Amino acid sequence: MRIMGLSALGVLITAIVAFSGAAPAADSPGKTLFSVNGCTQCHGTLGQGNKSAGVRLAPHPLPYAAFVSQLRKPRGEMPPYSAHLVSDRDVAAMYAYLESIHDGKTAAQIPLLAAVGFGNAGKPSALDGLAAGRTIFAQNCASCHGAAGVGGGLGPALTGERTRKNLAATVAFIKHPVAPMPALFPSKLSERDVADLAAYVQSL
Amino acid sequence: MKNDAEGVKRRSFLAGIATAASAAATAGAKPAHAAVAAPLKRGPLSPREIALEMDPVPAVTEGEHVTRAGSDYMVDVFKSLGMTYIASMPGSTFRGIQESFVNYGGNTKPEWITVLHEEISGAMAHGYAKAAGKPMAIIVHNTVGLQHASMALYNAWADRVPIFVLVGNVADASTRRPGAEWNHSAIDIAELVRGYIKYDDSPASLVHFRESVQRAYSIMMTPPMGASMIVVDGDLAETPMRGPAPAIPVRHEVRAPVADPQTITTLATMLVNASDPVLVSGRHARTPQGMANLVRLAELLQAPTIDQLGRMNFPTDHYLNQSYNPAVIRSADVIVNLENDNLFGVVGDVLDHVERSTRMKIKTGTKVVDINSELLAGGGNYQDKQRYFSPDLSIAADAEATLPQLIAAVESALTSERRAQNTARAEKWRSAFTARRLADKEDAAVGWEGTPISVPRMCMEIWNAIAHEDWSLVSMTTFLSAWPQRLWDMNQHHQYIGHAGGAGVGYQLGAAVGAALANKERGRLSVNIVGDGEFNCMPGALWTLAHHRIPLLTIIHNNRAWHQELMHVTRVADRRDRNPAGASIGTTMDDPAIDYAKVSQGFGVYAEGPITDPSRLAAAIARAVKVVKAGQPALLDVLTQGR
Repeated sequence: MRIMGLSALGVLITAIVAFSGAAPAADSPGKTLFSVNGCTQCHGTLGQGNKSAGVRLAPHPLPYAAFVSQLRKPRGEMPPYSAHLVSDRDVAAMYAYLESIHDGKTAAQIPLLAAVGFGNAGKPSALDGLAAGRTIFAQNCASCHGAAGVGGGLGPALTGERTRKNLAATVAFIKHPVAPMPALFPSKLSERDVADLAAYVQSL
Repeated sequence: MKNDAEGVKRRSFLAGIATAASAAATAGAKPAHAAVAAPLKRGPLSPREIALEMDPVPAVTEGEHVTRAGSDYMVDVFKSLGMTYIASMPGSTFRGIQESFVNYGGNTKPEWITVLHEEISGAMAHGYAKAAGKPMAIIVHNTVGLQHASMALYNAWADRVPIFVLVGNVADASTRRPGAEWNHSAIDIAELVRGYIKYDDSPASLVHFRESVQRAYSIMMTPPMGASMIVVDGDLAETPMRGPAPAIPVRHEVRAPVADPQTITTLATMLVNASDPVLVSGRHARTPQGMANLVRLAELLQAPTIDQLGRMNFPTDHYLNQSYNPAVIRSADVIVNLENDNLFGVVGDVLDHVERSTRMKIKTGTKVVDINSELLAGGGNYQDKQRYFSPDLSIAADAEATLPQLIAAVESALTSERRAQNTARAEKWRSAFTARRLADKEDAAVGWEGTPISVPRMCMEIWNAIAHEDWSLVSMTTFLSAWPQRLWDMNQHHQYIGHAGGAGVGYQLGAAVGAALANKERGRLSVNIVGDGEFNCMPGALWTLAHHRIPLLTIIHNNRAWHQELMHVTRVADRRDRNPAGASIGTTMDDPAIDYAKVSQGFGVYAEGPITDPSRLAAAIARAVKVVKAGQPALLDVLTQGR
């Protein structure tokens, strides 16, 4: 009944609108639906995900079609949500909520995380010239492709990607991905970022 | 008893009664005890006999004192084990030995620790043993006390942790006081828990007690370890000792089982010749040396290591720690499993789908080796062995005891050519470690400012307050997505003590109190991050912290739910296309929200909360750490994300 009631709110969201500002809308219908449908249990109230129950959904959620596909016919151990439980309208509202969650501070901007070292592995810059690409990968790609591209999330493993695509093809794919991979260029990644990222992926 | 003559007189009389009853029942059969019984009596008891039974000859005349109680000797025997603490909730069946422990034994080695529930005793001893590296004792009342303790004993069993259990009982029905002493006595008291302890005995004499106590200790400390239990008979404890005290032999430590040299050589050759060897550890490192040896072996081979967190097996800041890198298992050609009870889980998965399916993670041809004292454990009613996988080489030995020989064999087998490969291997794992740390840092940043407070935020605020102290995390990290292992530099064996073993809810707070007791001896700061569901099983453990001045920082990871179960029921509802919101019925604790700060303060422990604003968390933790460093317990209630 709670679900149907929320569906009947008449929230029609066909366009994906990103809220601006420091925080998403406090009581948006999508946020409420995200909670009452149980999504927050595994993915967190901000879609941040975690290592033991659910992958990160925000910021930068999957393309809408991929999001709907994962919800209706999920891969992995996630249970399916039918239109009976979550209407298309409600899905759109929840997606709008996830889209409204913008980038927060990066680890480098949070002193407690910036201070976390790399043990006896040495700092990334001391290892090779791939530090920038590695950082971009960690921030944007690792949640689906796994740390160092080893897989484990929604995306495939990227180890040995150089045997499947050369550097130019990797750059092209990052710029113009096939769903469900999100397009981060040019909205989030610059030409230089893509080049650094592709170089890192080629090294895996 | 006043003297031997009277003792014999009374025993003979009682035997006669029993024989008479037996004879009456079997009508003409030869009495079983005819040779030792008093002259056979037939028919109803005489008034004199009834009077004597109702008011038997006293063992000690009123007004006389008992000297040399049997329980005094029992305490002498127990002191030969060298145990530091014994935890207990009171129970009348062991009143004799309790008095001996505190007065005759001077309340030292072992010192009596008072708890509010027998399950706390067991969980305390569980946590203490892992933190201290030596066992602790508990003593429980018969039937009802042991039933309370049984949950904790099961966790310790599944975690292969030793606990020395004493349990009171009164075997002789004719000497039991009426009422509760009857209700609480049992013919075979150990039967209650025999499925999940290693050894038990019910000594009928003091010599029997001496021998069984020392045997129980040796069996308990032999891998795979587990609890031993000795029944303390109330009569034996309270009856004066006759004659000189039997001598108490010096006890010698048991040597753990080690693999044979030929098998070790075979394994060393496999490892040296492997292109992608992987080491997996469950709870192999019982001691700091166990952890150091695993690091040595990994570095010799430049082999990635997966720590399953049953103990503090491998440093989290070592680049060969690849615990969260799934590619390691996929690419391995030799996997060595060290005291991990779920070998199947290393090489495969059972997926939580509607129809459970199995997925193998290893490639064809991967050789799997299991070094496991688990192979020496017996079976029973309880299914704590996980799904079976048939390894290529199975070694029934204690992994920690075997590693020194394995290291020596690997050093001997390493050629200069193979050693030369280590530079490239090291570089590969350094890079993978760095990438993973970077990804973890960025994951932790997401939702940093949000409410409820993110779990990585909570963990990092704690880390910031303790990183420069001599600290020990005395709680499991299963429900924290292992953020401490991902972001904290954990490189000392004492910095983590593993998980519950049997996953029985109720372990955490009691185990943390036990571990904090062990750490108190070393002046070490103990940190306990406990879920609210766990906490609510045994909040009374807080009182023991306050009463015994045990410093412990407890942070309640308060998601106001039994969150694991909430997710389970939601998943089932979704699969059945039914209302997922119904899953909150029976799985949440938000109406009313429990005020853990008040609960804690009621037990005499400093507390703050609920803390809902992440920006207030650091200051609250700092205040609590100050209390703990002053030698007192403190608690913070932190409202958090589910995971």
